[in-house]
Amino acid sequence: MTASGLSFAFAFMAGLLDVAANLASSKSDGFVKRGWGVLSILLVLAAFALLAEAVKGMELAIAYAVLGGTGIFGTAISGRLFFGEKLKPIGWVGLILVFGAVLVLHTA
Amino acid sequence: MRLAWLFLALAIATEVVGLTVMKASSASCAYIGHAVMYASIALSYVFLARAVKTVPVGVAYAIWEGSGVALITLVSVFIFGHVLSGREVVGLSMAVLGILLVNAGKAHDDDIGEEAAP
Repeated sequence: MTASGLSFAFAFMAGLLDVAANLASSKSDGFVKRGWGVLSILLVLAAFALLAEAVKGMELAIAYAVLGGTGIFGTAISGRLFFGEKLKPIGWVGLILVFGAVLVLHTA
Repeated sequence: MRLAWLFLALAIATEVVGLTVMKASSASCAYIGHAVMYASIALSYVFLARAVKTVPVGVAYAIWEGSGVALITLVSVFIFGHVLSGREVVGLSMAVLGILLVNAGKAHDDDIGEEAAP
């Protein structure tokens, strides 16, 4: 089954929500700050709601990999921009692989 | 420490089960399947939060996400009968490897952070 554009968009947006959830989770300091903690859980659930829409038009494994890849890529970039988190060269290689993976899966 | 790894394994298992149930019910638009998925994802998050109290965050996330993609691929192939094309195999392999490397690039910082703590 070829991924349709709309399903891919749902999986990609799910990844973006996953990024937002990870950022909220970081702000919650291990859920010590409950407001941020609750927000991060709500965002994760919203991400998986979009994933549920995506799998109606594409295979689960592909949709989940796009969510995961987008999430990890966005979280790493955001972590660097907002929290000054440094990433080692091996991490950058990983980001290139993740970005490439999403492109390959999009055209598969 | 052994308990933390158990929590991590449970986090991975509950997420995979939740997504499998959701996919299985997606054709029939059953809301029960979605409810099971939401409960499973929330439970998975709780288990992961317990795991990262002792397992370094970077390592835990790498294993959770990397094995999640790998296991859900196996579910897709063996339970839902999805035949992977060559490009899909390449893409999924790149995703798993990339996720592991990104978190490997962070995990060391986490370790340094822990060592630096007084």
